[in-house]
Amino acid sequence: MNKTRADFADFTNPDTIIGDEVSVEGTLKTGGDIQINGQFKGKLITDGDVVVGERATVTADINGQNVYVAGEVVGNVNAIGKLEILETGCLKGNVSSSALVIEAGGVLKGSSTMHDTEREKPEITPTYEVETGTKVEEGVN
Amino acid sequence: MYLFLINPEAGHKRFFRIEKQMKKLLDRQAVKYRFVMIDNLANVPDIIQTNLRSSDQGVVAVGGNATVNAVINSLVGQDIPVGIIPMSRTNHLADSLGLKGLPTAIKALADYDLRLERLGKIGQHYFVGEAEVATRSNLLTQYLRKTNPWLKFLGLSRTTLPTEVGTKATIALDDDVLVRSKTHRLQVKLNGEHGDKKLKLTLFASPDPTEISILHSNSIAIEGETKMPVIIGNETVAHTPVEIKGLAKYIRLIVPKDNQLTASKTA
Repeated sequence: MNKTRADFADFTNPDTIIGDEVSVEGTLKTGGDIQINGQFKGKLITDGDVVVGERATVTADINGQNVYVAGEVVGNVNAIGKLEILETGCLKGNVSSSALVIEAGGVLKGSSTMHDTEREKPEITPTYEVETGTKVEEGVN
Repeated sequence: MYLFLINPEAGHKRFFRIEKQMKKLLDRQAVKYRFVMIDNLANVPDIIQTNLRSSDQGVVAVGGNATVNAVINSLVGQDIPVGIIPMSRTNHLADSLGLKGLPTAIKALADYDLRLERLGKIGQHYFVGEAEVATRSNLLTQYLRKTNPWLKFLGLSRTTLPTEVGTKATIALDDDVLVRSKTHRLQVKLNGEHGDKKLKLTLFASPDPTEISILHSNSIAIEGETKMPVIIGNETVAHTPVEIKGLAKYIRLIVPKDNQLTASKTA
């Protein structure tokens, strides 16, 4: 489920929470949503969403569904869905996502890659029919 | 028939005051029983071995948290259902299973579901449900707030987290993750069968109960600047440094039928 900013502000019932005054280090693997308000260093892998709170400091590569950054992240981010850097967010690293949103005030220092997504391509009528070899009108449907 | 293991000291010798009432309720529910008194909780394994018959439906722990813990520890690895008749008002496991009060607990023996509860281990001690780790001052403050008659008279005996500074602690999760934090209180809860990880750790790093951290793992090693008691129910079973593990082992507990509970499944 893609969250709107309002949903992020009330990010309720995450599976994992790293609180304000807590420092965590290591490889954190989980299936649910993660909210970081404190400090995290290492590697973060989840099937769910990741929210980096305004006062959070994350020095880690992040892999998640949707990633929302309102604090500081140093590391590469791979979001299968959306990566959103909010006005207070600062991300130093390379990112890849299906959608990238950077609010006014948000900072991204690094390169960005978009995941391949299905796009509508125009149909092009062939210029020759195979059987007769007769030239036909070019056209685009 | 059930084998009832009775702790005569539990609840200020409550069993002797309610024995007649208990027998009456058991007869009314057509529950067959055999009473055996526990002389010492350390002897519970021997008492069970001597008295349990192959035809018994299960073992019923009649007592407080310590009695229930002793019975559960004695039956680990044996597929024997465990029932609970709480004798004290602070029997946390009984409360969580919906076994509040004598009539409800006895009725559950007649009309029951069997609930699979995951086992955890603290040192050599098995447990179900949850364990708590807190600084002594926090526990003492909470206890005094609850029991001080002046505070009660003034209506100030509500349980609140104290304002003292917590103790610094280091918590290792599965040897993968290291957590460093001031710690007022830690709650370690056993997750159900379908949980990704076996343990859920809730860390209260400040007096504000809304500022929590939640993490999941299969094992937790806790070390603090000061020694902290590890409590199950109201019984201290260990002190930090301590390792707590969630196991792929279960025990079957007798619960009231149609009891909607978390962290387990009914068998």
